[in-house]
Amino acid sequence: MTRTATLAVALGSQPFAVRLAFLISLTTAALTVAFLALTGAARTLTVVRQRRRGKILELWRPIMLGSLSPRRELLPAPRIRRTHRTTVLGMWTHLQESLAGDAKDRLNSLARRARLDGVARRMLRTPNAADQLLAVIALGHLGDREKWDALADIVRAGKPTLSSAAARAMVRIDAQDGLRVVAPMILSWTDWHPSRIAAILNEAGSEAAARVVTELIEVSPSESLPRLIRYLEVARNDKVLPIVRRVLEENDDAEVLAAALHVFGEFRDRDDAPLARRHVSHPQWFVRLQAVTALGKLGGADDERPLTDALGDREWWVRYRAAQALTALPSMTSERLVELRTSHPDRYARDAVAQVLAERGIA
Amino acid sequence: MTRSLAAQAFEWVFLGYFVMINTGYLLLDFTALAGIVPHMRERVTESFPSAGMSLEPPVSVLVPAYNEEATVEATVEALLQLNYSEYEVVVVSDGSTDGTLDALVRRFSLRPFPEAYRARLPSQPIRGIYASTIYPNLRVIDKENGGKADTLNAGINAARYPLFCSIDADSILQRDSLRRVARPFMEDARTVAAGGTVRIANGCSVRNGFLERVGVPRNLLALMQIVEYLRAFLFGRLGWSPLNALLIISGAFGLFHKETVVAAGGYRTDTVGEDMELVVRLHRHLKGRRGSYRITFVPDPICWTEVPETIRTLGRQRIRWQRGLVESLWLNRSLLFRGGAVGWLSFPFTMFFEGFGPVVEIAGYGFFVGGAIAGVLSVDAMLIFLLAAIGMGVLLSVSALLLEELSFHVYPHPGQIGLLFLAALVENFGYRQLNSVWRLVGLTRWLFGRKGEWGQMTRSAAWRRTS
Repeated sequence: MTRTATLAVALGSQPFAVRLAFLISLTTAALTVAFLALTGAARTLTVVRQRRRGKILELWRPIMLGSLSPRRELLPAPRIRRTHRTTVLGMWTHLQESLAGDAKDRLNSLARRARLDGVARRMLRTPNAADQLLAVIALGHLGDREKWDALADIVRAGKPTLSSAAARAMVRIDAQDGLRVVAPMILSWTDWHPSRIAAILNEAGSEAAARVVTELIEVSPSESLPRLIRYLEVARNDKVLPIVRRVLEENDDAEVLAAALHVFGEFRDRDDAPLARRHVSHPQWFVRLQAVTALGKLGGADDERPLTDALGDREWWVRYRAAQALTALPSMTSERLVELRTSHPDRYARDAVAQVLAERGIA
Repeated sequence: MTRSLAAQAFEWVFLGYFVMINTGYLLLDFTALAGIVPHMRERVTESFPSAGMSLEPPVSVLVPAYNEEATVEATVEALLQLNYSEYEVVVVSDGSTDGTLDALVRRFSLRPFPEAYRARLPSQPIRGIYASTIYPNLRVIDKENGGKADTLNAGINAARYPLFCSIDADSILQRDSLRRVARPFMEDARTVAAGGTVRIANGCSVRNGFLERVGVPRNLLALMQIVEYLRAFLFGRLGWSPLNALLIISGAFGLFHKETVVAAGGYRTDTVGEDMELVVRLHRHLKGRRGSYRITFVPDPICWTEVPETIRTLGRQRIRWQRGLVESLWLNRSLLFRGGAVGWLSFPFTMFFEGFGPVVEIAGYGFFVGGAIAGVLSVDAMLIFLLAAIGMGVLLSVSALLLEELSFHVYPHPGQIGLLFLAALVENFGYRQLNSVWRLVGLTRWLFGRKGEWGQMTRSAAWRRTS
């Protein structure tokens, strides 16, 4: 009897559980060998890709860097093989991200000679999200309008990384038209981190950002107002202040008020100081917080008293910001601050003043 | 030979257990892979400002330290060099009896600072707070000894920023570690916690607190732990993350939304598994609030730590971990079947396979071997069952190596992968079984109420260098 036949007979006499366990052993052994082979293949592929990438970088790095020089004549661009396009486009985009001014234009010129713009447009259709992202960013730098509708579709898809990159690209290509596409999404992207929206508005520039956000404020539901008002800070344009004041006349929601006070503090228009003063005693702590912070930037000698009172607030952050605000008042002196640190009747107020004085290196 | 019904039943129970646990981990591995592959592709564009954020949320890095005189300076120096826009470092000395505080005062020119300390979470009394005169974003808190959880709570009280990062004093980060672990918070505003992947530093070279070169250790125990970390602690956990069912974020490196943690009560001081217990409690707390939230895991290798190289130290660690695990599950048992993948999948999976699994594993090995000796089971059957159990273990370990190769391939030399493969084989002949024994000890100590303790970690840190 052969060994295999002997084994089969021996197994056949075993209970079913044992035979199943044997089958499991064989399966796991086979899978283990297969996984090992796959591991080896993956390692080989990695090495091949790394070597290929090295060769691509060796070829293209001098060409890209050389193209930045204004004194060099236009260098010919080699044809890009299909398997190299992602790497070359990635290299080009990475370099473009760090440039400004004429160097950007010269690198764009190289991209067009090398037909990288066509590569980026084709990559927009790929199902590979990372390649799509690269293409979106590249088209933004190239200022390429040919795939405008495709970019708009990506913006509307609402995927955080890809859509916000597409939004920035569209705004980079054409700030006005781009914001027209992006504006409705700003209202609906409520679970996006505010810095994503801020980055898009920054890309558009102060005037365009101020215009689009004020237009949104006019039409948005009240629950969106706090968020939109905070975006006005990105605009850095004091033309937005009248709109914020008008919103406050029509809306007494605490969160709207807090957002508005924050913006007033950032823009430092002393006409808004009375509003900040009125709300130093607001029932909601986060409104009081913004009020005392704004007073530190907008206030004067008359505000020493309310801010000193705010040092006794039951909320730590209000006490701390009130202490900071006091140190920022033009009328306040080091001696009086030191006196506050020792003489204020509230222990927690004295602690807040002591901390702020230590942070500022005062006494 | 007449086989009793009981013996047949045991055969099926143990075989079924081994098949289920290993299949479960394999599924987790491939769920993890489904998330890692697109993540690896997106890494190409991570350095582009256009793809990312312009405003990173500020972070308070909390460093609990107990008798870390030998390493604390290098740790803090490295933390002060992280590539991150705005962060502070808060070292909390937990009643250190060596020169930890003196070393910090000298090196960083610390002076007493009149901080308006907010005791929102209870902790042992604070003895003093110090600020650096040369590094404005460094503070040191000295407090009475209270344990790691108590120390972290004191750090949270002093943290000024909306996010805090808990690390171990011997964690080795990379310059972009904070940036990577903060990314989930910028991508999804519902994120309340993110775990950083912890890799093993033994065999690597570290200079000035940063990883300089990846290597594999010569110590067999450490080598097997690399495979174990890949299998159970990396891909195993990563598989739960897309389902929002992650139950553990390592205390070595995790980023949390401060107000959420404070609202949940901070770290518990009556458990040795405070890191896991916090995460499980966050799930319970947030499910109770009925809001949408995310607890996620960053797959990139961004934190490195030394693992035990002696049986004694490793055993103490694993007993403690097991005790911490069952304590965390027991304290939050109302999460079981509460809803979502965490209540219906990861909690019962962890409870059954990781919490009480050692009982089944030890009983299984005991039954197969004892059964053969007693004649209840034939020797052939015993060998076949053991082969199946060990074979499944080897498969799982090798699958982790495959996933590592498909994703980060941290170990660049083929010889290193070869060594790891050998470790993947060897660990199934004694190491895993020893781990089961330790886990059973930990479970037993929890059951019978013996107080858990940290013990002393024997650190060599021989591979750390300073320039």
